[in-house]
Amino acid sequence: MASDSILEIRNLTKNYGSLKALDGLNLHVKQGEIYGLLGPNGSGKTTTLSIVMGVLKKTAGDYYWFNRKPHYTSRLKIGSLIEDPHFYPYLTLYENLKIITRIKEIPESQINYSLGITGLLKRKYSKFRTLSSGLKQRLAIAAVLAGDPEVLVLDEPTKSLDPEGFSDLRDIIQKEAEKGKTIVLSSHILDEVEKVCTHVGILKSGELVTQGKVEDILSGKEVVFIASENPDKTSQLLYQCPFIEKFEKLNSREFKLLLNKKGSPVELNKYFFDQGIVLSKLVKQKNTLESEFLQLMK
Amino acid sequence: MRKLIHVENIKTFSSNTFRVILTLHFLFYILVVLAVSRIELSVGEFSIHRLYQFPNVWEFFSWVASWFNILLGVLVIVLISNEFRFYTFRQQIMNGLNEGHLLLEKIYMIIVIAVYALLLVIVSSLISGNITGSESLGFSQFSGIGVVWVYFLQTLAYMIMAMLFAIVFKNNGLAIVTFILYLFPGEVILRSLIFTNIQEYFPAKLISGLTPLPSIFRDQAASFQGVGMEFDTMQNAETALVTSQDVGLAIVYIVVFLSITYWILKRKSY
Repeated sequence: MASDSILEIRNLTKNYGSLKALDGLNLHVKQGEIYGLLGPNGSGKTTTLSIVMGVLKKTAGDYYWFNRKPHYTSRLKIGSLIEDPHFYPYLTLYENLKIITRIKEIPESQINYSLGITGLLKRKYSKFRTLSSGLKQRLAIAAVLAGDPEVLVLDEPTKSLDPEGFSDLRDIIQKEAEKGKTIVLSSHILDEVEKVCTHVGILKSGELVTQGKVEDILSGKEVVFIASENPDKTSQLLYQCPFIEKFEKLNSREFKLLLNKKGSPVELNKYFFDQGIVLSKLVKQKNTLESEFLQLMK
Repeated sequence: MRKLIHVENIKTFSSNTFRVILTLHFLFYILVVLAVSRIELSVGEFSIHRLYQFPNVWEFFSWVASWFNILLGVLVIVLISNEFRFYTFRQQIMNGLNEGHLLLEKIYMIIVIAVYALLLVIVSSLISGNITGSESLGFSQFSGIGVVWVYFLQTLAYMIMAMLFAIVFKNNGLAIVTFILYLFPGEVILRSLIFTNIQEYFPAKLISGLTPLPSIFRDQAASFQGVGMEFDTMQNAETALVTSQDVGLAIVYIVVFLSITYWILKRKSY
């Protein structure tokens, strides 16, 4: 294992009866990466994060935090938010965070700092049960940040946040990343992930379909829209075209194509021209994580 | 361990459930003790007044307090099942505790509650013994206090048994109902189905037998029999003297309950 390894997952499997929630998952997060774990509902994101945080038992496979087998001391160095915020409803925000400072053995002064950056300092003596869901989520983020952990594990952290909270969270993640923190983040908001993450892994039905640097996943692949007066022949040629990874027919004349790394719109145009087809439309679209994600999910 | 004590203190002492149930326990115990003291009953050498004097008071107050152990068991169930209800066990694991820590936290709290119950019996017995007794103050008033330590063991055993129910069922209502049903009809039915002498060693039977009917009642029952009165119910196994074997077995049950609880916690997902 590399010395800069923060989290390594090997052949992780989780079964719920006959349902395979995770199927031999392999994943590697290194120091300083902001790793976005993407996938549709039920793809295994929360299951993965729950297992590596010790709250869900795995069926098979292994995982290592900081090059070590799972141990509670590793979790002391990790701030985590998985699913909903969970606190004692009858305790104040301050008391709830005090519990965390005791567990992590960090100074109580950290509480005010965490409440301050999440905008909850004025509510520190309010009972948790009196907070709105957005404020509860903010408290969960404050709890994650308490003690300046080396790693942040955030499962859908923008859930319930208003636009202001959303923006604040993005700033917090970026500031933490600038400090060299490693962040593992799962989200449905692909635009945000693309803006914030350095690496992504895309899960589908418990399997990792792709992972790597965001720019590597997006580079070399372009989405192109074409149209021609001879759609049947165009369709036939698309099957034989060496530059295309996938295509779909949008209507009677138009096609949406995903070019592979060898292809470019210029070469595509030449390919059709050489085959006697003049394209009446050829529009290149910037490939986004969202379009890549949607392609992979098909 | 210190950090676990701090954590448990923050969450438990601020809990309304904790305060309300302990207040009820205190009030019920005091009310029964005061109410019985109002009864004017005197048969032969026996009088209610003697129950409040040294050394009988230790046995009598421990026996009365044992009626309310079930309330302490319910308190433990509520405190533990709330951790599942609020998903705070889950959060604590994520924050850096392990299953052993969760168990230690709750053992600590059970010991705190048992110490409260112990002090309640000791202080109330001392007050009563000194108010009603004619003996001078001194070490002699502590003769017979041994039964209070056995009561302490009994409260621990009940609460640790209740903890097991809470860990198994996770749900407040279900765990409380099952715990009470097991203690009363449940184990009695189980025992009635078994015709060997192991009936005496079932947990609820053995643990409840740690604080038997005070000896002053047993002596009186024996003398009543002498004049032809039937007190069979007072002469059943409940009135038997507590032996060191019973104490040892109760400790074995505590260890077994704790081991099962830990085994379940280790295998549970949160």
